[in-house]
This record gives sequence, C-alpha cells and structure tokens, in this order.
Amino acid sequence: MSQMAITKPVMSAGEVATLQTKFAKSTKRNKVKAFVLVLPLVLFLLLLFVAPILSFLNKSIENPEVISVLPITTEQLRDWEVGQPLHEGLYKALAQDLAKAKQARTSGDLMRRLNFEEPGARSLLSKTLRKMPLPETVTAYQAEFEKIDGRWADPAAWALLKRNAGEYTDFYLLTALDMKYNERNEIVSAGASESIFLDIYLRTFKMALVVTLCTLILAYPLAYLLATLPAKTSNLLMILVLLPFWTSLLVRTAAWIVLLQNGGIINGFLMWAGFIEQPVQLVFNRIGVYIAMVHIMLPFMILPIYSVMKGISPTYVRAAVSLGCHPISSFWKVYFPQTVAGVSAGCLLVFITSIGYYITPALLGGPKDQMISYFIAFYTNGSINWGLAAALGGFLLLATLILYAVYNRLVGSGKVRLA
Amino acid sequence: MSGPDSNNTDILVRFRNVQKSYDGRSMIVKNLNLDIQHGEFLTLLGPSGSGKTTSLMMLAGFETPTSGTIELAGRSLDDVPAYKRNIGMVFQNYALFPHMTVAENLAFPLKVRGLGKDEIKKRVENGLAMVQLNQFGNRFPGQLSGGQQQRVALARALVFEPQVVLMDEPLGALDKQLREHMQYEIKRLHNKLGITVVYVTHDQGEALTMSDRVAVFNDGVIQQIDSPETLYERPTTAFVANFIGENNRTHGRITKVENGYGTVLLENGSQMEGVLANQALKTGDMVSVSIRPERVVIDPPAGSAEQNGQGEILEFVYFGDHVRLRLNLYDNPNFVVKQPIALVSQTLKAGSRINVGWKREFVRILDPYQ
Repeated sequence: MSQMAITKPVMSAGEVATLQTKFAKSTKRNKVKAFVLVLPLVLFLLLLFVAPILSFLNKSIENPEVISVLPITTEQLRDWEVGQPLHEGLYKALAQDLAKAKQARTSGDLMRRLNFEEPGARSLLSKTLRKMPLPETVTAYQAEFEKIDGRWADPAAWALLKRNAGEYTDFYLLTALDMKYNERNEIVSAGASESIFLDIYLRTFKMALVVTLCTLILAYPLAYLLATLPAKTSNLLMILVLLPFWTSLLVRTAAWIVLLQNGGIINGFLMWAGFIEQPVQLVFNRIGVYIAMVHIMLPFMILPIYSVMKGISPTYVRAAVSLGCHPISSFWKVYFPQTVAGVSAGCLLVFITSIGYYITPALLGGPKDQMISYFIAFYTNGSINWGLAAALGGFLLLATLILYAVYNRLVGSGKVRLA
Repeated sequence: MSGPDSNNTDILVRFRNVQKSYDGRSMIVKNLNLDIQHGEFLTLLGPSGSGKTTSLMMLAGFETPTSGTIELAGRSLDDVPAYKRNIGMVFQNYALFPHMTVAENLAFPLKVRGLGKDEIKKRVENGLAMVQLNQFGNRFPGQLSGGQQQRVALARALVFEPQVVLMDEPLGALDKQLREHMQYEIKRLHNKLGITVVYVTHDQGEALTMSDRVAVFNDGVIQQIDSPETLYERPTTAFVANFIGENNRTHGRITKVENGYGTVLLENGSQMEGVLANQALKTGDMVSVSIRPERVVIDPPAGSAEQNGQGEILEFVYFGDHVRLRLNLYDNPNFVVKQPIALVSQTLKAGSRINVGWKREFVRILDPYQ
C-alpha cells in the first residue's frame, strides 16, 4: 500500500463539480480527436468488410424467390396448412402467378431455388409453365394441373411451396448441418446418402488440429532457440523463418507440388539414397496437404511463442535449478507455464487460419482432402447456391468466434495472473 | 591478508586454484584461492568484470571452472550438478516464478525434495513469518512491491535450509531507502539463523555495513580479503584504497624506511611520512601516498598533528552534517577534506587559505596504482 494515499484533498461539492466538467471537457476533446483519426479506417472497414459480410450472411436465411414470383399463391398458402385438403383457390392462384411469371420471364430463379430443396421441382415447374397460361375456358384448375402432372395432386409439392412462402428460410442452415424437413414438415436428419457437410466440418477441424499440433511441435524448440541465441545469429535465423512468409502463398503451394511429386526432388533423393524403390505418393493426398500447410503456418506459431519467450528471463530456470529442481523438470515447471500465453495465441492463430484453408488442399489434396472452404467456393462459383455457401460460411465464422471466446477466457484470465 | 588456513575445520567452502576463461584467451578469474567459514557473511566486492559474479556462479554450479576445484563441506563439487548442491540463491531480479503464488514459490524447493504436505505447509508459514509476509501467501509476485518481492526471494532461498546462501546483487533494483532497510533485514536474518552468506555487490557501502569479511576483486584476482574496518583503515593496495571510500592520493619516491614507516618525496618537492602498507616496499620505489579526507584536521591544535600543510580552498560544499573542502595542497588541486560541521569555523569560504594537519599513522604508502 502506498503511503501517499493518507492525505486526501479536501474539496467542496462545487469544486468537485467544476473539476468534473473540466475533466469531461478535456477527455472529450481527446476522444473526438482519436475518433477522427480512426474514422477513415472505420468507414473503410464498415463499407468494404462488415457490410458485405453481413449482407452475404443474410443470404443464408433470405428467401425472396417464391414470394416475389408467386405473390398470389403465397397469399392463398397463408390460410392453408400442411395436412389440410388442397382446394381450387390454390391451383387458380398458382395458374395466375405462373402465367405472369412466364410472360415476365422470372421463373428461372424460382425453379432453381425449389430444385435445391426438392430435386425434380424444376422439371415439374417447367412442364407446368409450358402449359401456361391456361385457356380462359378452364374452370376446374385442380383437375387441369393434375392433368399436366400427377405430382400436383401430392400435398408434398404444396408443402414445399408453403415452406417457402415466407421472407426467411432455415433451409440453407439446416442443409449445412445435414438436416432437412420431411413430408410432415418436421426437421429430421438428412440420411446417410445426402449427408456430407458434418463430415466435412469434422474433417476440416481434424486437419486443422493435426496442422496445429505439428506446427507446435516444430515451432516450440525453434522459438526457444531463437529466443536464447545471441542477437546476431537469431536475427539471421529469424529472416530464414520469415522468408517463406514473404513469398506468395500460391507460389509456395505450387513449389510443394514440384518438390513432392513422384518424379520430384524428395522422391528422387529417397530413391537415390536407397530408402525406397518405388516413388511414395506425397502429393494429391492428405500427406501433401499436411506438409504444405504446416510449412505455411509455421511462422504464425513461431512468432507469438518467440515474442513471449523473449520476455522470459533465463534466471527463472536457474532459480528453479538452484532450488534443487532437475534442469528438465525446471524447464517444464517454470519456463513452460510462462510460455502458455504464446503457445495458445499461436495455436489459435494457426487453427483458425487452417480451418479456412482453400488453395492448398485444392491444389495439393485429393477429393477426400478438401476442407469446408472448398465447398463454400464451390457453392459460390460453381452451382451458384449462395444461400448454402453463406450458411456454410456462417457456421465457419461461428466456430471461429466461439474458439476466440474460449481463448479469451483461458488466456485473458491467465494474463492477469502473469501481470 | 588472512591467508587460507588449511587446518581450519570450520571452513565450509574452499576454492582451490580456481581459474575461469570464457574464450580460451583471457581469464576472468585468475587462480582463486578462497576459504569461506561456517556462518560468516562474506562479500565479494569489485567493479563489473572483476570476476566476482563468475566466482559466485561457479560455486552455484551455473559455470564450470576451467581448472581448479571447489569444495563444499569437504566434498569436491566438480561432479555435483547445480540442482544437487543444496545451495540457496537470491537473484538480482528476484526470479520469483510469476505463475505461482508466494506460498507456491516457497513450497517449490520443498516439493522438489519430496517433503510431506504438512511439513511443507509448516515450513512455508515459518518462512513467510521470517520475512514478515504472513498475509501475502496467496498473492502473486506481480502484486507485491519490489521490497516485498525481495523478501519473498530471500525466504525462498532459505526455506529449504541450504548450507550456503548466495546473493547476487540482490538489492540492485531497489531505491536507496529501501536498499538500506533491506540491508538491515538481511543482516538480521543472518545473525538470527546463523547461515553462511556469500554476497556479491559492487556497492562498497553495502559491503562495509553488512559483511564479516569482504573480498575485493579486481582483474580476476582478490586484492585484499579482510574485515570491513581493516579494509577501510588499512588497505594494502592502492586499488583497494581507491575503490573503498574516498582518498587523497599523491605520487612520489620513498627516501627513507624505518620501523614500518616510510618517508616519501612528493613530485612537488614536499615530504610526507606514512605507514608502509607492504613490507616489500623499499627506498627508491615509486609509490602512491593516500590519506582519507576525514583524517585531515583543519587548524590542528599545536602538537596534535605530526604533519602540516597549507592550502587554498578551491571549493566549499555544505552537506548538512559535514562540509567538504577541496584544497590545492602539494600542487594537488583535488585534495579533499571532510569535516564534521561542529568543527568548522563559519568564516571559511572558497579562496581562504587554511592550515591542515594529520597524524602519520593515517597515511598509507601503497603501490603506484594509476
């Protein structure tokens, strides 16, 4: 306890009030200044980073197709529940909507959207559209529709429309978790043949975990060496660590293909040295992905651990040894606990970056080594299913945020202890 | 010099012809022979690079002697690794483990030794009580002040009852007031527990106030090892006279040697008499002559001084309890006189000429150290 706190300044209430206003004024000026300084960056981030991400994430729940193309049907469906009998009004409304859609050529989005959810919806709709508009003489719309295609008699087709007669849908989110609605509008698991994403999430996390552990095993001793060597040598080594860091990711990945392929340097050397007789498959499989990812992620692990180790005085281990502890045990009991903050920062950094990896598995892996980002890219560029891409990306972002929160809890409280 | 007495059974630590070189070309410790007695407070004092810390580290086991042997309680330490030496150590920056509480820090050496839980608890409590930190067991070192951390470090080095406690400039990081307070605290613990302490410092004040004996290091060699009083009053080398306390030094040549006293002809032609610090000095040798500023008396009563001089005051500095005068005496413009305030006439000021005198027993004739 400081001894200076004994004498308290005696101030009247009025003086305190003036001081408070003065203080508020002076701090306000500083706050405004600080805000103005970061304003360009804030605007940049909001306009080009936060807003696009939010709007894209919104795509995972947006459902504009049915309500915009089939407005009258949507209105009719509001009063109809799955399980109730189908009635003439529904068919008439659909006939009007489809006739208008055909004229305005807006049916494409609708067909694509419904086909995501129910394969066959596209053929049903295009078959029906060809018959639109129905002749004026038609009075029994239901019979007419059933004549076009028997599937219109099935309540399942109407359940599909009913499900999507709203502004928002949970279809993409459920699909991303390998779930779907059954005919009775209940959420069920999608079944083995349609389930892929949970396995891919699992694969993504598993691969990221393996990469994180490998980098940790390689980085920890190296960081220790860097932190304990004389500055001259450690600077040189540090440049060697950072050199790949400054090279393009694509170039490094391509370089690994050259090194690892069957006729590449590594196989060539192993065969020359007589370790193997046939080339080992090192690329276009899991091994290749791991080798390249570990190499790319290594600096992200080394740097945080190194910066923490740099601040740990070697006298701690000496002190432990002088107190009778074996040097190896001293390292483990005294040095290692102080590096935990750096280790967890490095692991988090590597893990989070790894679960978002796309290029390296795409180039160096086989079909069974692709991570979730590959599928996000596929649904964004390939099949133009942005809703599903946004849902898959949203869950990835969620996983990242949860990891970060966990890290903050673990290391945040640790920092207080170390302070 | 109190030379090593090989028959003394009270000797705990013995350095025998210890040498240490870091680069194979120059030696940081040159042929060190040093005996440390049971229960004594020995300080290794010297400028940085003089080999004092290296000697301490060799005793602790963190450095290996290039040649020679160190013995602890009659047993060679050559093949004993640092963690088995049972030597306590206090580091300059405390080296308290930041991720453990104060109590865990104290328990660390006891746990390593496999003591029982109750025994550890008891010893930790005693250790904390010893440094008056009973209330702080659950705090982390980062939550303590520098002085409190230092006391924890002390308690941790003592709690496992080591044979020797080494302290490597333990008070270097503290401010002046706290440092003085901690000096007394360490001294008190030493007296109370009867432990053997080897203390390294470059602060001569610290060395003088705390130690039973002080070994003054320079250039990898012990210049003199003696009690603080002997060291201060009867330095045997010009380095020691110069390093410990202030002294007025002039140079000259011995013209006469008699009964341990010598007469020196100074460079300006005056003569000074003093004690020969080294019996090997003989007529004709170039020497330095040293007298402490506080042994010089202003206007000595007739017959009380054996030697007199007259000089002009060049500088007059008031220190509250004493004054410091810089005189031009024997053509030496840096001749300093320190007088208690009670003995100083109020008319003295810069520019006045004064008489000074001293007894010849306070003058030391030493080697011509530059």
